[in-house]
Amino acid sequence: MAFAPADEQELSQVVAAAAAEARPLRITGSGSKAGIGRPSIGEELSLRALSGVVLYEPEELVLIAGAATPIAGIEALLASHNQHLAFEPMDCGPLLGAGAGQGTVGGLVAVNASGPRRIKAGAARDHVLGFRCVTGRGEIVKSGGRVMKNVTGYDLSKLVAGSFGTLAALTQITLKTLPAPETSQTLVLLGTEEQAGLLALRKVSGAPLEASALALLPKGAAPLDLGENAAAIRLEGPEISVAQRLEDLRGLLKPFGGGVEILGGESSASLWRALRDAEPVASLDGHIWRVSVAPSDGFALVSALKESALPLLGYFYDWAGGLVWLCMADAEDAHAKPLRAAVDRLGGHATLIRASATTRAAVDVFHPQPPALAALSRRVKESFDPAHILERGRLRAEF
Amino acid sequence: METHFSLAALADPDVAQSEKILRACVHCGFCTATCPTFLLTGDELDSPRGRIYLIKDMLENERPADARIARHLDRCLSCLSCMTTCPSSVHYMHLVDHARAHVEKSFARPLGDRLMRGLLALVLARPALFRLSLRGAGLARGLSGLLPGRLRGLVAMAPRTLPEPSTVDRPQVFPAQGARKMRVALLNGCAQTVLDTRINEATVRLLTRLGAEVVVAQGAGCCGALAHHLGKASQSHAFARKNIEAWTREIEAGGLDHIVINTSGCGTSVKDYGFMFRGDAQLAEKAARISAMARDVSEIVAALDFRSTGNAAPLRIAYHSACSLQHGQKITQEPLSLLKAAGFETLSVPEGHICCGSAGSYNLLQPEIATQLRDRKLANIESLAPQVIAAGNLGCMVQIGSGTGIPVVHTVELLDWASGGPKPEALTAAAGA
Repeated sequence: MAFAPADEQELSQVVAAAAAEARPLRITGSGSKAGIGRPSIGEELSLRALSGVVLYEPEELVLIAGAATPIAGIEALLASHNQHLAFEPMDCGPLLGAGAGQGTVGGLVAVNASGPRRIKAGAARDHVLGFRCVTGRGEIVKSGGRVMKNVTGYDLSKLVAGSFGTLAALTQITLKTLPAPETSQTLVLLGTEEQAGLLALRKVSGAPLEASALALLPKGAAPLDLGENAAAIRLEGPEISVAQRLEDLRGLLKPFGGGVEILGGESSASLWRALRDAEPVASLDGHIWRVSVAPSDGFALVSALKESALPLLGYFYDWAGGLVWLCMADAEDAHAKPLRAAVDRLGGHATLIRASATTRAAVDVFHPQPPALAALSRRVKESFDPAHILERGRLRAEF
Repeated sequence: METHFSLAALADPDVAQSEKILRACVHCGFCTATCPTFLLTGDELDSPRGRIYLIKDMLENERPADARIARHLDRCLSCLSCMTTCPSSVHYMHLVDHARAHVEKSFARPLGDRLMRGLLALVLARPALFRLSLRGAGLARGLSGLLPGRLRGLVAMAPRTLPEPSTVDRPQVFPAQGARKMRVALLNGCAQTVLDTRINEATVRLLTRLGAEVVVAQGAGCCGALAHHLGKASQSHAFARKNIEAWTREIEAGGLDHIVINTSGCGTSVKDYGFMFRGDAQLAEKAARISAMARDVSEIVAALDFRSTGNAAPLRIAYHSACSLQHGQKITQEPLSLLKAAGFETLSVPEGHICCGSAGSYNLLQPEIATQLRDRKLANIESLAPQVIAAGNLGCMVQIGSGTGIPVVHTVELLDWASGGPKPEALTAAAGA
């Protein structure tokens, strides 16, 4: 059976009834992210009725929207006021084959989707000022407020962001909005060795240049190939400031050699949009992994994978090397063991983003947690959802 | 013409092939008269003969390409009008394809160009991404985020509203009506599944009605032509390989008589798979088999005993012969005789051998030349005062449609209508407007 409650009240009744009988529920919005995480079981609980912008006050930098409001609409609304979501949410649709531009704000928060600007602006969770939800107990809960400085109660926004709906069904989300940058320019350092290019990105991230994105697209390692190793650095802000920082940046990069080219507004935007949505690997056939390591370890990880003869089809780096997107040839176990072993040696975590439902059921999609952390996660889960009805099995097989 | 290749250079089978082609040319210059770009610029280097000299010089001396060579090769539409004209059968298509791959490898384009060409190959060939680039808050805004400035042309070209993805474009089998006369696989294409879903729908209706079982094979997709014409050989080979494998599986599972293609640009490319993989020990045989089975939809309909039911109004139709159909596949008569058999009055377009400027992604990369060619084509078409323009290639339809109010439909939509299918939506909309 599928439920599609018309409002928060109905939703709480549905959840309470399910909780009483311990019937699992699968929360959906547009369904664009159904392919991430372990396949969850249970009856469909569609939140699509909870859609629409409730409040938008550009001068107060705040927007409140129902969970099923499409991001595309929100972004268009913000753009008409020269504002944006600074964490640059990724559109997972194309990567997962679910079609583009369908994601909802609830889904965005549930997976904590953040893009290249995360290194400067923070993740999605850092922009959630508050929310309303129905917990696994069927209780309607409101958390946070409409301003950053809010000291009442626990900061549950950080907890629900990235919880994949396992703690509560979000009904309404309050987001911080920010002015969109006046200009945006991307400097591309071409033709250096991969390692040197990544070193350059880390140098830039440590310099007072306020780069808003740092990525490296290796030569020949992905369908979007610029013909040489290309380290891309984005500078944003008022024109005069960008021009000055661009000069400083050129000076900083001199010792690295290589060619330097500048991409202006639209070319720059298209490059970052493609990187944000993991386009360089999305068009390949294979399992896609998203690996977080320390920026200084990104190159070591890829080198280790190349040496270990894993069938690496394509890869690229974002976040100055701290985020590595990998595509590997299909295998039943998605090469999880050897990949995780390589990641564990460096310290980090690997998430299987794209794979068949059977593979996602058989393999740990999210990086296994150490026992103490796993026990903590379990206690958190049980305080929100004691009957384990919300998104059962989505994060971990055991709950 | 005389060539001087080193033995070492000739060891490369691609170079050896190009040498053979170059030697066939007698530099007579007939081709210049029918080359669309020479017609516009009057520059010898923008003619097939001039390009052949540029290519010869580059390959013979084993030189990397430079900006001049890239510029003139980029301006070539690959319309293959020259191949129809050529009295000594110079295979210009294989020559320019090889040269383009050489340019892509040896010439560093400005970064913006590289990014644009990379994104273009990525975007157009992937339906989900292409749809994204065309929709969003406003057409122009959704697009400008994804495509660089020069590709704004796409905005002008794109339909106002995009159709929803069609169920016809999912892998499945459509059984034949009545006795099954043949079993064919349909190439649904990439851009076509986004821009105009009615073409595939009409094709399936028409073919099944005529007694063909139509298979949309799991795993088949973009034919690879877009990447191929951008010189991105490895990417286009990957697309082609997927199709060859998908259809080979289908041949082995359920058997296939033909592979039907209703976008003639793709048809030319699929018919060339055999050549593309000639040196590939594993795929050569399979690719040659697929190419031998490939047919334009008009060839299949002609073979299937098409009959009109008198369903359609006897409209005056200007038939635009797509270059890939008339020059690439040498199919000129079938579509015309079918349209006649369907009860339409067909008009032949003056200067019909000249390209409309669409040429795959050409109209996005070379908007000035493409627009001049479009306007020239439209002046020729409008001189006939037709009620409808028909073509067998989506690229041409979009290109021509961007400059005229006369409805542009695919030939199969008209044939489908004439044999009992619905009236093409473009005609209904035009009548209502």
